Parts: sequence; structure tokens; C-alpha cells
Amino acid sequence: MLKYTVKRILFFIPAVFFISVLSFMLIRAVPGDTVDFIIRSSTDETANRDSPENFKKKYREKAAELGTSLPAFYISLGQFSKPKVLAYEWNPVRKEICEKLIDQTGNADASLAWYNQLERMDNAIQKFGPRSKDPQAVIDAGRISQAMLYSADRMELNAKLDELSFILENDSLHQPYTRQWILDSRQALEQLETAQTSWKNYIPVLHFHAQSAYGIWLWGNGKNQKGILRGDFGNSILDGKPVSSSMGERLGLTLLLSLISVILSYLIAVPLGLVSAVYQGTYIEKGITGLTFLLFALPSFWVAGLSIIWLAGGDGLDWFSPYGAGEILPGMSLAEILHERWKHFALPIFAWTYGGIAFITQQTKTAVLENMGQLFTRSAIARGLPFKTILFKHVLPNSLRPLITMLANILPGLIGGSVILETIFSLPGLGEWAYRAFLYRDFPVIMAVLFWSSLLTLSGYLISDILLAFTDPKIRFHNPNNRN
Amino acid sequence: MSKYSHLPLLSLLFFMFSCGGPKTETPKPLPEFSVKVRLNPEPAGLNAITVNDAGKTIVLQYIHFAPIGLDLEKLEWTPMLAKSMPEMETDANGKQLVHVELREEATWDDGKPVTAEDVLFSMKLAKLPTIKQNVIRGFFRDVEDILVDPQNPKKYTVVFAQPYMLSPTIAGDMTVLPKHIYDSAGALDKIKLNELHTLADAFVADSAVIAFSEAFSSEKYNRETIVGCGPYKLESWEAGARITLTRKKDWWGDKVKDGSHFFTANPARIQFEFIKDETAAITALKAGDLDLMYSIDPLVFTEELPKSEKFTANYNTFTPQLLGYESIGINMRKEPFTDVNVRKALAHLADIDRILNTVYYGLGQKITTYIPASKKEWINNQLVPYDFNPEKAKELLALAGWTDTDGNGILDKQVNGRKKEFKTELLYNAGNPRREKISLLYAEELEKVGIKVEIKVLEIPVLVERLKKHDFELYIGGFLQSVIESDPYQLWHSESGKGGTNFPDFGDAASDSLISAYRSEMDVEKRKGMLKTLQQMIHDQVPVVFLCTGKERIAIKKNLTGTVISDQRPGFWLGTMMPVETTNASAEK
Repeated sequence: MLKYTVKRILFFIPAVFFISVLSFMLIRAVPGDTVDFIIRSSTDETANRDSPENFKKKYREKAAELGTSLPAFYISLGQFSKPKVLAYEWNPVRKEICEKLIDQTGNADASLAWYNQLERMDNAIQKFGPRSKDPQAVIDAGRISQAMLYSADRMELNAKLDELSFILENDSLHQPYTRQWILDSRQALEQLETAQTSWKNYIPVLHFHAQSAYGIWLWGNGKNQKGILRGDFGNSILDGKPVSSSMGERLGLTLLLSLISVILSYLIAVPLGLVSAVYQGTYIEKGITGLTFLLFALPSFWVAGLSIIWLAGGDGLDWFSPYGAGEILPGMSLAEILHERWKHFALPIFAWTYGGIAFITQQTKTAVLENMGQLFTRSAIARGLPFKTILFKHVLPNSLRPLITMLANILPGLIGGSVILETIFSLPGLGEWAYRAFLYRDFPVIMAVLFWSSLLTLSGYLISDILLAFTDPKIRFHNPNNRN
Repeated sequence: MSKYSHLPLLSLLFFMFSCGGPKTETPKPLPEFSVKVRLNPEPAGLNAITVNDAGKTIVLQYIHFAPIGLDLEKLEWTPMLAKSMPEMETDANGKQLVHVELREEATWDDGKPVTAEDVLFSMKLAKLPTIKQNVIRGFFRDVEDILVDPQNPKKYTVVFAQPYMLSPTIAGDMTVLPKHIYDSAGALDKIKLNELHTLADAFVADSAVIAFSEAFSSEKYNRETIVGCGPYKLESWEAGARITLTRKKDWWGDKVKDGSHFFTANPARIQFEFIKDETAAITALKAGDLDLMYSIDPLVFTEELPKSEKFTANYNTFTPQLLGYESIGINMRKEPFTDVNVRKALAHLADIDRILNTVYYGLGQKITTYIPASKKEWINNQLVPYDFNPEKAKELLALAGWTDTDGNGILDKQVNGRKKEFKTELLYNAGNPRREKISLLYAEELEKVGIKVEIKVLEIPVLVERLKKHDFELYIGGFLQSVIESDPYQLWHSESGKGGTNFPDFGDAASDSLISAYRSEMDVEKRKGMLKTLQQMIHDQVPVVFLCTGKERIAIKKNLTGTVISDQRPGFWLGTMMPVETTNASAEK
């Protein structure tokens, strides 16, 4: 038994590692430029007053801090055509366009040379703009070169280059410079057409990186981040608070409410299931089944909303509080504190609990019925044992198996299921915090939540397996691993 | 609901009766009362420099003072920390100088006076490049130096590199933080402000400065140590639940008699409750758990709440103008929207009356320009609105070459020898039911004249990315307005079209040079004329179809009176609130 448990716990490590890598990659794959979003989350005018160079600098700093300019993982699968250095490119537009051009032509040198040339020309237009006699021409030219920076369509690029050439030619001041810019650009574009080596795209290559974003998450970056292996989950991007401290604060509430609801639902549902099975076929059983299915069908967020409207003041009854976890003022007696908590937690617990009741009831009923039909039950009846003894000493223990398996699924559900209810009831728990993190791409928080989620899931399965082993001797004695 | 029953009753114990004429009236000490306000979403932090969201601004209004502030009643700048409005002059070198003198009475909680050194420190903070998430640095870009008067520690001069019409505002509207609390070790002492302006990178290597910057950006100064010279201090912040502010007992501002409403801070305690769910918030309101709630859903406000007896018996409602508008942005550089006739047609297809009724429930008004209606001297009233006229729209589209040649109900045109149908994409951000309705109403009108519309809902980061690189055709956007003067550069200059917020990519040589001239024009009357010209240009070019502004929806408990209600965000000032018993008692007297 012990050996088995230890083996299972050791298995956690590769499992959690694999899950964290997968989560990490998935988060990075989410569309939307998160660095830009974080910088621009200051939706005030003031942030957007920054000149393009200032913004680029801010962007670069933020990207370095978040690790988005590093490859996601130590190993990456690439193509022979794409140089390793592209994985370290901090400018997402440049990265995207160059990769697209390489996909088209297979020629990294030509693609990068083209983009460099384009950036040079764009900078030149901006720099020499104020000297021009035709400000409108400068504006138009600037717009075209900006549009070109976002395009990987070679036909479009050619057309735009023609447009640009036309505009600049007509601006008398610019001619000596512009002819050279256009010539150089045309040459670079030509290279893309003529020096194509598409075959390089089809050769896969493994790149190994000394530094990766995942590595920083794991080991830290030697500066302000220590990495999760040393217990540092980083700081939340949104509020700067260390993730571990926020998690501790919020986990308490979520765990409390979830555990209470789990215990309550078992306490209510198992007897209901038993009664249901014993009175199978009667109106009692039909009534219970009907009720539980009705409860199961009602979505919890809807019931939560209704309970707030009807029972939490407002136009309805004023038995409970519509939001929050309650205010514990200094000097409140224990009775007052309990009353305050009851007012705030009763509705959320109800919403959390009722859905599970239906499922557990049905599972219990099915298991009990199945065991009641077994040979050992019939022989117990034949032996003359009282019904109650048969039910509670023989049938019920055998029926516990599916219930224990279900328990395994409940632990990770602690985080997932609470999101909606915590938001509706404004409870400062883990779910609500995780929801905000997902919405605003708060990576450290997201990774911490996924990490603990996976750990809890695995633990849940392990606990349920151990419990099963204890309650079901068949597992203990027939398991070839348990020869101790 | 017996939570606060004890508080108003206490007030009766504190009453004094004054005798003598009105001039020698001793002010009645105020009864102690608390105010509960719903705040959503919860602020990410309260650090004045590194956090920027609407929630933080509302809370910090009561904690921090700046040299000047926007009087919410009069809608003009008023001196707060400063004795009087700053004076401006241009020196021999063409630099702009703004002279400020702080009030004698102004002190921090420990008794130390608020001085120009604190202002200098705060400006250094604002411009420090090593503070990574600095959100206000761009605002103070043109501040070159602050010169402290050697004779008078309360006097200083802000030096601007070049004349800019917003300089007095920039000089005065800055949060002043206490140097001796935030930088007791003097890490920033060796930095000269005028060096920050030019050698911004030089300080990146200094370890003391970096250590200071990291400490400043940490959780401590974001959630715990928030020290200001305003009337309230941060009592506690229960994450996910509430922020509590308490009134300072011997606040220096109580000595100021001629101040604006900012110097009136009646509530002993202000609690900002974070209620995430709308239903829960409305229920809390009806149950009487909240004293003030703003941003109430328009449908709830106009239909549900008036029917609730509990609500109407206990609350008054207010609808100040919300300074923000919604509009449909058009990508001016993408075919077929490069043709101004097409854009004008789009303007004629907006049935704004219908949108006002269906989406705003009547709580709003049509607009033709981005300047708020209350700015009477700045708004161009000569603009001829684009009325809702589908026939006119069809004519304009035909003028641009779009007609339904094949009778399939969709407009088409010959482009490069091939028949192209008029299909377009309308974007808006996810999680916004108002814009969802607007998109449906607008798309309906477009479809009626033969434009096929695909509505796409995108998450904000994805949407903003596409808007920035002009990878869109039409989108529904919302913009904040302000009563104070703002710079048209961000929205309307062509440079802002290069990754900035000028998403439609509006602008040509004429408008650009107008904006540049505007920014350096010191004569306010001339600026008014220039802004009107700019509005005409925008109106003629139709980079956006202006829809409407909304009205704010505020509910305040009937037993509290005196709240300043304003068009300027957030729309209310809690400091002037008073329990009704007070005014009743004084009326009896």
C-alpha cells in the first residue's frame, strides 16, 4: 500500500510538469498582443501621449520583464528556413511579418533584409518629413510605409512601393534621398522574388534554447524572480501583489465554502439515495427522483440570481445579504459573527450544494439497487438478518465505490465551479480572482491557478484511490502491486 | 438593515446652539456618519503613479490633494493645495514658467508642512524612468524643471521646455506625495529634475534608484501605505470586499474658509463596496445597504427601480451628463471607405433617435462632434448634422459608384475590371451589451440599403491590436470627454495614426498644422476659433459617425443631502453630503 502511494506521488512530478508546460504554451498562443494590452490598460489619454519611440521602449521593457520576447520553452520545433534568432524577436509585428515572408519564400536573409530596409525607409520618411515643402506628401508617404510594415503580401508591397515612389518623386526636396530609398527597397523586394528557397520550409529542426520564458517561471531570472521551484509564483501583473499571498487569502474562503457544500451535499444526498433505492417504485422514490432532476436542471447562476432577488432584501424578503462575505467589526461577539457569516454564506452555499445533490442521489440509488440485487444480499436475507443490518453493514459499504470516485472530481471543481458563483455573490475567493486574471491576461496568476488546479486534481484521484483501497478489500488483495 | 441605525442617532448628542449674529456663528460640529458607495470593478491598486483605472481615481480623490483641482460644481480649475491659481509667464529664453505658492496651512498628518520639496519629489517620481509601470510619465513630458524659491519653501516655479497651452494644468494637476515618508532615505536627492528630462537613461544603472523604484512599485505603496494631504486616510482594504476611508481628525483643510467643495469632507467614514454582480448591487440598493450607487443600468433605472416601492421611498435619483460618447469609427484608408461619399452615406444611415430610445432608454442625447455640449464656447454649433436619411445615403453611394446592378439586394461596383460586392465587417468589444444592441440596429439599416454587414465581437486586447494597425473597416468605439481643455493630438493628428489612438487614420497637412498651431497658441480665444475649425474639418471628412452621449444614473439615499452632482466624472463629491437631520435642525433654528 505504501509503495503504491509513494509511486503515485512520485508520478505527480512528471504529470504536473507536463501540464504546466502545456498550459504555458497555450497561454502564449492566446491571440491578442498582451504586452501592448497591459501597457495600454492605462486607458487614460496620458499613456497614449507617448511618442512612438517612447512607446517602443516601454514595450521592449515590458516584453523583457514578462519574458514574451523569449521562446516559450527550452526546446522548440522549427523549420530549417527560420533562424533561431527570430524566436528572440521582441517586436511582435516584425516577428509575424518576417515569419510569414519566410513561409512564402523560404529565404530568411532576404526576408529580414527586406524588413530592415523597410524600417530604415519608414524612419527616414519620419526624420526628413519636417524638411519637406509638401507636408501632405509626407503624411501620405508615412501612411503607406506604415501600412507596408504590417503587410506580408508581396503583390501589395510592390503596389505600395510604386505608390510611394510616385509621391516622393513629386516632392522636390526629397528627390536625392528618395530615389535611393526606393531603389534599395525595390532591390530587397526583388530578392524575395528571385532568391526563393522554399524547400527549406519543409525541413524540421529542433532548437535548443539556453533561456526560455518557461525557465524563468520555473527557476527564476536571477534577479527579482525566484521561480516556482523556490516557491516564488511571481507578482500579479494587475496589482503587483505576490501571487502566493493573494492565493492564500482567497483559497481559504473558497475551500471553506466548497468543503461545506461537499459535506452537506453528501449528507443530504446519500440518505435520499438510500431511501430512493429502498422505496423503489413507490411515489416516494418518484418524488425524490423528480425533485432531484428538477434541481439538477436549474442552472446555478440563475438560481443564485433569483435567490438574491427574492431573499436578500430588495423587493423580496430580507433574510440574507445580497453580496460579500460580511464585515467583522472589532468587538463583535461569537454569536454576532456567526450570524453575520450565516447571512452572507447561506445563499452561496445553497447555490453550490443543490446541483450536486441530484447527481449523488442518483449514483447512490443505482449503486444500492445494484448491490441489493447481488447474491450476497439475497443470502443475507435468507440467513434472516434484519433489513437494517443488511442495508447498513453489507449493501451500503459496497455502494460507496462510485461515491468515492466522484470525490476525486470535486477537488479541482473547487476552483472552476466557484468562478460564477463568487462573481455573482461578490465573494473574494479563488474563482473570482482567477476569472479576473484570465480576462486580463495576468500570467503569473493564471499559471499559479493552473498549477494548483492540476496538483489538486491529481491529489484528488490519489486520495480517492487510497480510500477505495481501504473500503474495498477486493482492490487491496487483488492488486498485484500490493504484495505487502 | 439595522446596521447603521445607531449612527444618525448619535448625531443628536453633538448639537450645539450658537448665539449671536450670522457673522459670529460658531460652526456646528458635524454628526458622525458613514457613507457606503458601490465601486466596481475593484481598483488594481492605489498607487498614484503606477496604477490607472477609474476606480482608483474615485478613491484617491479623497486622499490626495494637488495644487489645483477641477471644481465639480463650477466646472473650472480651482486652487486646492495652492493659495491661488498659478501665474504664467514666458521668460527671455522662450521657456514657459508657471509660478505656484502652496497654502500656509497645508501640512501632512505628522504636522510637517507640505512644501515645494514634496512637489519636486513628486515630479521626480512622475518622470522617473526606472519605475516600470509609470502611467503618467507622458503627461509631464514637457516639464523641464521645478525651481524652489530659496526664500520661501512654499513657493516654486515649474519650467516648461516650450510653450504649451495646457502647461498651467499640467503644472497644477499633479498628486503631491510626502517626500519624508516615501523617500526617507533620500534616494532621489541626487537626481536633478532637469537631468531626468534629457538624460532619462542615465539613471537606469544606479542601484539605489533602482532599489527605490522597485520598492515604490511594490505592494506596500499600492495597497497599504497611501499617504496624502487630503481629508481622508486609508483605513483598510479588504481584498475583494471593500476599501474603507476615515476622516482625519485635525485636518489642515478645516482651517481654510474660502475653499471649494474639496475642503468640505463631512462623512466620518467612506466605504467603497466591491459588488461585482449587477443583480446583487441592485438588490443591495433596494435593501438600503448602499447610500450611493452610480452607473446603474439604464433599463433598471428607468423601468425596474421606479416600480420598487422600497426604492422610491428611500432614494433620490440624479442624471448628470456623462462625459463620454459612442461612435462608429471608419477606416479612412481602406477601400471602399476612402471615398468621402461612402463615409457620408454611413453617417446618414445611423438612426440615432432609435438608438437613444432602445439602447439608452432616452437617457442621452445626439451629438455631432466630440466636444461636450456643456463647453458652449468651444463647441461648433454650425455643423449641419447628418440626419438619418437612407435615401440620401443611397444617392451618395451611387455617386461613389455603388449600385445594385444584379438585383440581388447587395450593392456592387466594378473594381479593376471585376464586380465587387459591398460587404463589410463591424467590430466591437466583447462584454458590452450596449454596443451589441447598437451593432444590430446599425447593421440593420446598412443591410436595408444593400451593404452586407458581418458583426464580429472581439476581446478587448485583440480588438485594440487590430485597430492599432488599421486592420478593420468599421468598429464601435467609446470615448471619454472632459470639461477641461484637452489636446486634440491623440485623436486627430496623423502621427497618432501610427499605432496611436487615431484609429480611423484621420488627418492631412491642413488638420495637422492646425493642431500644431493650436498646441502652442496661448491666446484662449484664438484656440476656441481653431478648435471650431478642426471640428468642421472632422465633420466634413467623417472619420467617425458620432452617435450620442449618455446620462449618468445615480441614486442617493433620501436621508443624505448636499452631495455635489456634476457632469464631470465621476459625477459626485461625497464630501458635501450631510444627514438630513442636520439641515432640518438648522432650518428649525
